[in-house]
Amino acid sequence: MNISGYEFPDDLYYDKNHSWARVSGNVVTQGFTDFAQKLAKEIVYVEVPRAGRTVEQGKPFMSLESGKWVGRVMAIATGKIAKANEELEFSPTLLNESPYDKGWMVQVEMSDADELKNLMRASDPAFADLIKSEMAKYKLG
Amino acid sequence: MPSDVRLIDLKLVPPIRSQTIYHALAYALDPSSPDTIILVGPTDPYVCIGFHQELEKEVDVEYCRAHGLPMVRREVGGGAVYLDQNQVFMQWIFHRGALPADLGERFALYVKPLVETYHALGIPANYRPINDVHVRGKKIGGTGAAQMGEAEVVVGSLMFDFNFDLMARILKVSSEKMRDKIFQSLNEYMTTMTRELGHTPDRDTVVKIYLEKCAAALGRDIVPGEPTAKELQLAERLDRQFATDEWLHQKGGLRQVGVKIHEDVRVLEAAHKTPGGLVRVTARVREGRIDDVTLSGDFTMLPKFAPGALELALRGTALEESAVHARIAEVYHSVSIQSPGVTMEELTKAVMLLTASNQ
Repeated sequence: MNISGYEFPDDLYYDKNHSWARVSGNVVTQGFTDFAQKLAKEIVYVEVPRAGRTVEQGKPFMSLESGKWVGRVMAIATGKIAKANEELEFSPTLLNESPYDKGWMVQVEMSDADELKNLMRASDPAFADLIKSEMAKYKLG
Repeated sequence: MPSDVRLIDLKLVPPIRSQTIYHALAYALDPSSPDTIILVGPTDPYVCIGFHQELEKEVDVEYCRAHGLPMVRREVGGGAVYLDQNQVFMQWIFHRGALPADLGERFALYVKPLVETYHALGIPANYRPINDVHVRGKKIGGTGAAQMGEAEVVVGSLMFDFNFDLMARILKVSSEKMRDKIFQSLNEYMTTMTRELGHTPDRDTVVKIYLEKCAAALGRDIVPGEPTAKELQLAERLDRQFATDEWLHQKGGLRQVGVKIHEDVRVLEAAHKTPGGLVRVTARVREGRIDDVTLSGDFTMLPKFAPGALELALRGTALEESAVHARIAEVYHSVSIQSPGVTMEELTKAVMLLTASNQ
């Protein structure tokens, strides 16, 4: 789905921190949305977390840097990191170039599937409202 | 009606506190906290590194220790910098929704009052996206930003004066030629209020102008205030945390090849082993062109002035293989250069190695 010029695939879940989640069984793959990467501009460094680490929904667990801005990434689901995209350490711009594919960040073994209820779908009116209100607030578009 | 912005003018505080204070306000920020601007400077000089940098790779730690220069890691991005009393840091700690989310727009907003302050002083500064302030192509301070807890932080400085010599000295570099080139480049491509005006303006006068410009840019009143007890407690805790080896020496993977002088200028060095000996190329690259270059190493080249002729000829050349080779070939033929084991191709390769690291 395209909302105000930004791509949001229909099969993904989204949170208010501009991350996406692709759910397969109890494994959640997390990345940054097209909206987030465009706001952040060119990413120059991603601190890739180690596998095995436990993360908590809504809490920061990794950082990245773009244009002297250090941003934190909040976990989209609680659980243990099964795999991290180590390619990002060498090619951080994958986050910009391929936010929904090669730019994925981590795969988390979700410990509580109920948490998905806290997330949104691109087709949810609440999600479109969130993006539009963010754009209005920040005078984008 | 927009809420007021709290101003905390701390004047001078110990080096570590000049960094921890804005981290503390950011992490203490809750829905009831005001947006805040801190003005502060350090009582003593120190070296500050970016969040994702690795201290030992960027800073001459031994030199800093020997000269009593504390080293502090900040949670803001960017590179290592030498700081002292000649700068006033302006640290904005705002609620996320109170600043533009787009990084370019956020820096533009932060830089606006800074540029206008310089204008009011008669300094023709301009915003050089994404986060520099320039005066006639010379940088007069940079900015940095970070997301900390619920806050967005933007920091920068009013550059009253700057110690170019120590800035070049504290960096870890691959050769003294590189250090010389950095020093020379800082002198050529950075400036300060003192250099522009011929005297150092009064701090209070400059700060007063800056705050007026901030109020206008933000469309909000700026009201003097103090840190809360909770914020101060957190600052004390961060003072201790930032002083630990674990914090200072943590591994960081941000590779900054060469030294960025400003958005358009970078100093780079490359070494290439040729059959005729090692060729070291130390260069300043400006907007993709060689601005200045020094050739050194243990190779033999005749006539004696040949390396100098090549250096001169390469100035202004686009850092592209065909252009570099053509210029080198021109000099080789016109001066009849003899350089056993260092062919034109080898020399071109040595120069082009700069681009391998020029990212």
